[in-house]
Amino acid sequence: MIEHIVVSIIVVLSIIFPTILDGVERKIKARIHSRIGPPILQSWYDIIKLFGKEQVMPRNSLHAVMLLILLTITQVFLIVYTSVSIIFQITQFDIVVIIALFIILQTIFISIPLTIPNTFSVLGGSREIALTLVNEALFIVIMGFFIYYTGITSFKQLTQLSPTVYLLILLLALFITGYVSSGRIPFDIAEAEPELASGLMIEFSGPILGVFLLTFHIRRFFVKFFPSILFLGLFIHTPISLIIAGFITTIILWIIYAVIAAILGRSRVDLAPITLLKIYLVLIALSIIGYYLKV
Amino acid sequence: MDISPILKNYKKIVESIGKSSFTHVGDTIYIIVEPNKLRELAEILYWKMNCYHRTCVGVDERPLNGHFALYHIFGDDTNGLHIVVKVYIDPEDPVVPSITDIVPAADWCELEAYDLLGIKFSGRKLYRLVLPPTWPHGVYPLRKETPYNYRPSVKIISGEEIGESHDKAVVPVGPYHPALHEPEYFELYVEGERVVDVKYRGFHVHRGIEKLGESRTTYQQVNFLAERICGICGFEHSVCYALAVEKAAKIDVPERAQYIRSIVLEIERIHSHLLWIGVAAHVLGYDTGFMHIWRIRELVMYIAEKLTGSRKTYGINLIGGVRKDINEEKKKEVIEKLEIVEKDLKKLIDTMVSVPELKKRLTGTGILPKSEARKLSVVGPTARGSGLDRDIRRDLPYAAYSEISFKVPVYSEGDNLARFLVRVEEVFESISIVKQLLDQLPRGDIMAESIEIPERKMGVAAVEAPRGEDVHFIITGRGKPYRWKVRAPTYNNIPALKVMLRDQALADAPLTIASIDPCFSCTDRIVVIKDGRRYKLIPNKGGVVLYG
Repeated sequence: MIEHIVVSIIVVLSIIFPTILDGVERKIKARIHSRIGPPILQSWYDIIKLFGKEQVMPRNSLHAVMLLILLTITQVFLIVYTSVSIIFQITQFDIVVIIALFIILQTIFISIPLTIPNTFSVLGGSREIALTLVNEALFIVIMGFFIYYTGITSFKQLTQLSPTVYLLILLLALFITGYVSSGRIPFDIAEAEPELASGLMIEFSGPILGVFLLTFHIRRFFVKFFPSILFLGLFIHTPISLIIAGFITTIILWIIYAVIAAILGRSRVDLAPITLLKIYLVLIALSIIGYYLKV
Repeated sequence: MDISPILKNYKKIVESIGKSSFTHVGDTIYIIVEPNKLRELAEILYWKMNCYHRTCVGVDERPLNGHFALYHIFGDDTNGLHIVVKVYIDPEDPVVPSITDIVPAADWCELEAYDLLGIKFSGRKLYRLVLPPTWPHGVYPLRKETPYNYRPSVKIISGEEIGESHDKAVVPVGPYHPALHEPEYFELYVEGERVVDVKYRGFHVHRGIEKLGESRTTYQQVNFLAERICGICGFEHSVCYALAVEKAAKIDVPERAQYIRSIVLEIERIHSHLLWIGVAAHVLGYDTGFMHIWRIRELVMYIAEKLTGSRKTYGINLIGGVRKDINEEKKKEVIEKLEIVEKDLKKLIDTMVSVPELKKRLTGTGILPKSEARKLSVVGPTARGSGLDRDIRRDLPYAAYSEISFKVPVYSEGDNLARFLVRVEEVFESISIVKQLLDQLPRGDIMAESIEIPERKMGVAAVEAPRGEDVHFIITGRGKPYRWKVRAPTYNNIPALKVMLRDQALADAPLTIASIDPCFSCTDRIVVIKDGRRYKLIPNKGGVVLYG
């Protein structure tokens, strides 16, 4: 019974809390900037206000709206599936299912701007593709190595694990993919230079923009929550403790990511993927060496 | 420096051209030349004598001598001279040879003379630069018969098609850019993420300020109008205007007033550069730097308020001196605050240049080679970032700049980093200049005893504003200027953007555009004010109507 309650709370919080965390991030950044900043609930106020606005369908962008709805539903499903499968094993391949769902989500995410007949959207979309080709491809490679090293395909099996250097290196790479996927500086190149490439959301307004922002916040939550669970699984072997610790770690990570984003500048589409590729390849190589040296 | 051999050389050149006259007053040489000799003289001045082209000015002199006139103003910065070349133009057939193929920097000012005075230039393509498509043909705002409050009632007769007939993808920037907050419009033609061509359309808000200055205001009122040319470096324009009139009328300004002008000019420079560094950080996504630079800038605005009574250095300059003095208490407080600014800025700049993304994106982007910078006569940090060692404060000193020592930072790389570093170093230099000036501030009056401005005198003044040199040209009239021409630094720097943006990454375009610190309102010089209300011009079926 307690497991059901905990899962239900985590699921609800995973949908509501990311937008509050976005408010926290804005407050932290404001403090670093030496200004007061908006109230913590400001991101929610924004979304509520957007839902109250007139519905304007972007011209010739019906596909984009449909894809956005698909993105939102899949994103919510992914967070629910992840939370539930941590406590109740749904299949023996829960982790693989989650990876597959995440990749589908990313594909939908980068498809949206490409279906909008607007130069800025297409530019933002093509930048996102360049980044995704490195980041999400390497996400799959890293998870492939994780599964290969451990033989684990569901959260229930995490209890068999103990921390090793090569696993920690691999998880570090996974946290970096999460940072990049969250679209923060220096990797917010799709949204960069507002008028040149407002990326994915340039044609969205009112409730549609509200839905997009909500989905984006949940996505930011997921990309921290998932690696946190894998990392904590090395140390915590009780599912309820694991999911609660995972939730708390995600909050801490959100704050750390906010600070990192505040002290860096924006990269460029020809610089960011190459830099990332170099980092990932070094980390993967180190983990391979660690694996064969059994450290 | 003894400039008599240099003057002799110029005189010799003018005599060799034939059918021309040569006079010299103070730091200005006046040459009158036949139209058919203009190109020859321009080539010698620009390329052999290594002069820069400051601007050209069309004047309706029909009420004075029955002609139109065109003045090309060159600058021999090395020898501290303005060279004004005048050409008389037949009023029945106002055509004069264009010099843009020899002096590319003269492109826009020729078009402006064509738009506003109807002077035609042979040997070049003419098109509207300043006037909107709705403006009727045959009406020239700067001709004396056109009243300052003339309002056209016309149908839209032409419209420029944008983004058409080009096989490259077009990325429009403007007409309002989120980083620059002023009306400008760039079309960037891209292949992938590379910019292959650039088209610029400006002058969306031409204010007709020159016409107002020649029509409605008195000499002293123009000071306040000149300040409104720019929201950042208004005091520079006001001082430049005052210097031009003082030069024309031979007015002696008290030493103390000269010092106060220099102090406020430097405060304005510190403010402007800090503002720009903040904007650059913002464009690069480094908002922490942006916010902290603007926090420091707040202190500079406090200083401005202490010295002038307003946070924007408005309202203290007049022909003949200044309206506000600096007492010991203000002196002490300014120095204290500047020390905080200096300390905080050093710390922040050290942090900023250690941010890897900032350094990567500033280095090697938006390159303006020295040869192109010279060809276009670019000014200010844009010129100094491309290896042109020019600064009017040192080359043609005005106010109290001859009394103090300062360095002029010059970088040869020509990229965004070079322009960034020039501005950063200039802030520290300006702090040092203000401290020196306050330390040496002489006693005495702050206003000239008598101010008499005779008619039909000419004055050219240049002031090194934060973005480069402002140039003001005056022909005195009765109680008000007969002709007042303003050339803002951005006017000379915008054409260089075409070179800077081409073959660069699209993502760097906003930074590169921002790197010249463009001031579009300076360049455009509009606000239609009637009965104290602000109006917009909107076209309707029947023509153009005023709409409040």
